[in-house]
Amino acid sequence: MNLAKPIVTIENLSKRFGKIQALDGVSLDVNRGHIIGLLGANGCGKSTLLRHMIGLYLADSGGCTTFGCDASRLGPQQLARIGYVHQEGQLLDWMTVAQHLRYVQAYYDNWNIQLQQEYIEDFEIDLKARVGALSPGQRQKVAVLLAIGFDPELLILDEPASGLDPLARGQFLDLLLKIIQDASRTIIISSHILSDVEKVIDHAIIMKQGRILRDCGFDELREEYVRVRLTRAGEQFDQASLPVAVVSLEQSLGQAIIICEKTNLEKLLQLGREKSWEVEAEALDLEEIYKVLMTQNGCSRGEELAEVLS
Amino acid sequence: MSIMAANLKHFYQRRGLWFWYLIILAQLPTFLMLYKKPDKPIIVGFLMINLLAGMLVASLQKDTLSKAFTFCLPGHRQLGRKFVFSVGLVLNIVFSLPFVAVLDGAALELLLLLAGIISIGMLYYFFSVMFVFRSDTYPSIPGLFWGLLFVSSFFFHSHLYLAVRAVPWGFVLAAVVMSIFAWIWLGRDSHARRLCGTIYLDIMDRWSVEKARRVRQMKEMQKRRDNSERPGWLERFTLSKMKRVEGLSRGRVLWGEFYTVVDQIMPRFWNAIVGMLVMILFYGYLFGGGMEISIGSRRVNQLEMSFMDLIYILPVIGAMQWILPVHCSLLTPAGRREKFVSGIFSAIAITAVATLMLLGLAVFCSLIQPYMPEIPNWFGKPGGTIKFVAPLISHVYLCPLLMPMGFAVGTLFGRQNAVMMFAGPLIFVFCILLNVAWLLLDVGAAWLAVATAGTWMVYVLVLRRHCMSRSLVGPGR
Repeated sequence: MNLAKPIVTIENLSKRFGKIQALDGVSLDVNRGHIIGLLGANGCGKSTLLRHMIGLYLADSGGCTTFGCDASRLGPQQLARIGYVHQEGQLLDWMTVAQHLRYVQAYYDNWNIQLQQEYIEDFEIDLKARVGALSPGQRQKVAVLLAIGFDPELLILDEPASGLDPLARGQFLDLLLKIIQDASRTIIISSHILSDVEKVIDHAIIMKQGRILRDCGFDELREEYVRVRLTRAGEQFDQASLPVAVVSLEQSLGQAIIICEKTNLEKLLQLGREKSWEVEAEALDLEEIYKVLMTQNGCSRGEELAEVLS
Repeated sequence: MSIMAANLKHFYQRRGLWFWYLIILAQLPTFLMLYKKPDKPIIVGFLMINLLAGMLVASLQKDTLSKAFTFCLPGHRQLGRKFVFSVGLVLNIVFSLPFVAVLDGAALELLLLLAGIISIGMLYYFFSVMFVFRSDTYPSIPGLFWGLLFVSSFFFHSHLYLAVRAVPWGFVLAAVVMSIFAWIWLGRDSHARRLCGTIYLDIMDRWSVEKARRVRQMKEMQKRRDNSERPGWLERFTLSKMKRVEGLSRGRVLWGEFYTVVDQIMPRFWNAIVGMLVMILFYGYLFGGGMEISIGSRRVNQLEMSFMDLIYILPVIGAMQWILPVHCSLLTPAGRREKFVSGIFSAIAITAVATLMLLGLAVFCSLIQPYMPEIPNWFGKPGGTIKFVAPLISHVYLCPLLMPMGFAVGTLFGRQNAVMMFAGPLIFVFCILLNVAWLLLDVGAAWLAVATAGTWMVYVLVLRRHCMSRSLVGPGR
């Protein structure tokens, strides 16, 4: 197994649904051994991109290769290496959970019974319940178990934790970290709950309107922006007087909190020393970085939402 | 916007209603017949319109109350009583006007008669609203009453009209009592509690494949009370076959798909048999009254009547609604090619089961035919009787001949509700016409084999195009 070779390669992929350009020339490599966070507003093309990776959608132009095979031609051998949790979590509702597990299990020779038993105990899954009678959260737990039960090399999770309670979300994230301990595994997780995602991801892909805004390591992303607190009693901070481009500035008498690119931090420290300001710098969390990126790219959350709704 | 205005907007905003408007429009020719026989007016169209309108209004109200958010909106816990009453009154006043034009009599007598006609219309309308409002599942007892009222209107409309002429004030009184009862009943909060957040299949979204799937699965889930963890015989059989196949191959995927298809059909098997048997008995007597029709110079007797072959054509409608295992409901390791093969495999399995079931029923009906009683023909010649006629066993070929057409239409338009709305009746009419044409042409076995191969070929081509060059995300199983 060549660990250095990308398992998914997307080249200039475009997809249009009627008037909506869902994906617009997306190019991307997914490498092994990462937990990749696929982030973006509703309708930005995350699910469409994931569905191209497993060949459910066919591209209008460009292409997608998964495990070295054209995604639209994936056969049982390749698909048996991919676990996928669908956003809507569609399952065979008329079956009991136990029956459903037995059914999916029958496809795979390498079903991990031990993992299944641990998962069922940890997540308190009722095996006798009909799948259709489960709550949305319980359904998602079953869907995740069905996707991880055969130890897939590539695990694609499309909003897997949205229906889970905080406790179950915590357990779920621990589970992801356990899965990724095997260096040959790769997880792509699309989620809106950024505070959860940032605990596990080591690579981030941020999308906006069918395009990729950022595709980089999470640490690299965290290094892009910084929050700086400037303090001096009685000082009125003025944006124009600052020697750096500021993403946002909040100020009260004697204090200013600015967000700017981290490359500007040295200049601010220098200015602070010259003007006797107290300068404190701290890293942004993922949610803040996401907001900054969206603002930087000329679209407020309200505008983006309006675009999605229209 | 007032509740009344919001409700009225539904009448043109809901595309699911358009089909029913066509059905209502189809009743209008009966009003023209008023002018033909003014002394014995035909009231059946008037009654049908009231039944259908009541059904639409009740369905709209149920649909609104089932939306969880409406429970907390001011005034929405109560059914739109004013809306229900206003629609009923306006409808009945408008459609009673043609009767004024053809009836003779003094002004007072005419007025009373008109009030009687409006009253019987309102009675039918309220019955329809209440029956439909109470029937959340199909079939249901209130739904059965609605059906009985619908069927009996065809047979007893002239008797009803004579009764209205004789005692119009009686109908006016009954309508007033019914209106008071309906006003109180419709105003109860309990309706909103019962319906809030529930999923049921409405007449307006009968063509919504996704909703039909959810409701069907929910009903199946409720029916299956055995939640034991022991696998059933079908599961043991198919899963052992899957495991016996070496490695993860196409064979394993096909057995897996076979299991999900048959596992869905099995619980409905006996229901389908009983339902078909009831239909065979109904049609067997309906067309067994010695009726004959002429097609061109040829007289087709009752045994050859293509209408009896409805029994063999009905599964085609079922095939249209069947969601083939080509969509992404669950990612099993089946690629596009496997989905294509399993789509054919499923269609063959379903067609084989349906054909064998119909064959069994036809043989059974042929055996019991001599022992079936003759029913007096109350509506025909005095002393006449209606005999039961079993469907012709030899016509069972229609099922494998036409089923692929249903599958092809379902595959092509399964995700387009508006098309599916009209595709069902159209394909049904097409099948009937095709059947008549076959009978007239006296086609032989060779032609039938060629035609059957042709319809299957069309289905295979449609499915191939769908599986290989279309998006597979959509309403799945």
